[in-house]
Amino acid sequence: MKNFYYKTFQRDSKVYLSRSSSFLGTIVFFLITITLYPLAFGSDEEQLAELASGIIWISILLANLLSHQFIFNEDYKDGSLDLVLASGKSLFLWASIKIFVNWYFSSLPLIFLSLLTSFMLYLPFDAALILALTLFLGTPILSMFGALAGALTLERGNIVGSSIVIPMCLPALILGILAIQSYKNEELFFYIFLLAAFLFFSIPILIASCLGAIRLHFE
Amino acid sequence: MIKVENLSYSFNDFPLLESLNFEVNRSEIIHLKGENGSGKSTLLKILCGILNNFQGKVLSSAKNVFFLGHNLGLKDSLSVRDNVLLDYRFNSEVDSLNEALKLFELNLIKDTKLFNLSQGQRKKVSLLQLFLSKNDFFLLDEPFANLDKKGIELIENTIKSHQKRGASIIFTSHEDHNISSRDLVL
Repeated sequence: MKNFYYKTFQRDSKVYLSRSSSFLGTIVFFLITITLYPLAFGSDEEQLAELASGIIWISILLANLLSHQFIFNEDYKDGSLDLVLASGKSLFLWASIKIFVNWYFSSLPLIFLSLLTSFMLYLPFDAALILALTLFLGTPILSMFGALAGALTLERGNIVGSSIVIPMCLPALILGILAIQSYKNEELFFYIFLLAAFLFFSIPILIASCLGAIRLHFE
Repeated sequence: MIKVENLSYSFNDFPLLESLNFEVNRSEIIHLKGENGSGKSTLLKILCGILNNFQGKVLSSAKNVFFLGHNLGLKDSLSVRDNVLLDYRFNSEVDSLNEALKLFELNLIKDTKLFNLSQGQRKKVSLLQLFLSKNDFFLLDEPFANLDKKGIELIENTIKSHQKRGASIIFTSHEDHNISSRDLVL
């Protein structure tokens, strides 16, 4: 017999894997977006290197928007959420697992891909490593804000959710880009520290907010 | 096992349940009856903790509650077997699942993804959980809907067998069934 939380992890993972469009879509979208920038701005190495951090972060933010609707919306529609609420188990841990699985399948592949695409945008190797670090710290924040937007708009479409997510994700986006741009300076540590602190405080606050938003739909 | 005192519930200022009082004892089956929109599903959701914003008291000594709602909690992109094994309510052994799959005539389609199944077959997948469950309190919303005669008999027998081992059951249905139960009309 499997634990409730392990089942949540396994069930969600299988759903993502069996419905390849849910995570392959974000990867394809990310790659297409990244490819469009050099076409639009030209192949000037210096210009692309300067814009690379912003291009990658914005592309990841936009690609993530495609996957946020899967976190709670489907469970609400198919009745799984009813079963979770009826189980009497900790919803905090349940929501954390669901957000983690979403991050694992939607954001983690993009972090590795961003390392590859950073060379296409002439980003120096040192900066690319900082890019990966900022994405490791920043993308979970994007997933949690996406989950919150999804929880607030369970009965509505993805567009409403997306319009909520983008403004909320701006601080993480700005800190991430500033950290990469200052990869040669001491300020780098300040921005990395701020991003890490943002992530640390976001986990309890945003997950609790998600649960509050879900509860609103059952009142 | 469960005691409801002065239970009232309003939906958008419309009083749906008013001053409801009843008790459910161990090994008791309650057939919840009422017209469409009378609050049968809402009452079940209150009893299992999905809805909390009600007035009155719900006192329960049930250790684990099994809830079957209108929406079955199944994943279209998973197979029949995965849907059962990874269901939050599955608390049985895998061997008993194989036997149950045969009994419910689902063994030939156990690896089929759910979006290929009919409504009746999907209902059977969900009811397989009911058959395998070892819970002590069951809340079943329209468990007989979308089932053929054979399926209805199978569920009637399942409900009786749960009663025999000491579980309590509340179910909603618009028809009468071959189950000795106490009626509760809303």
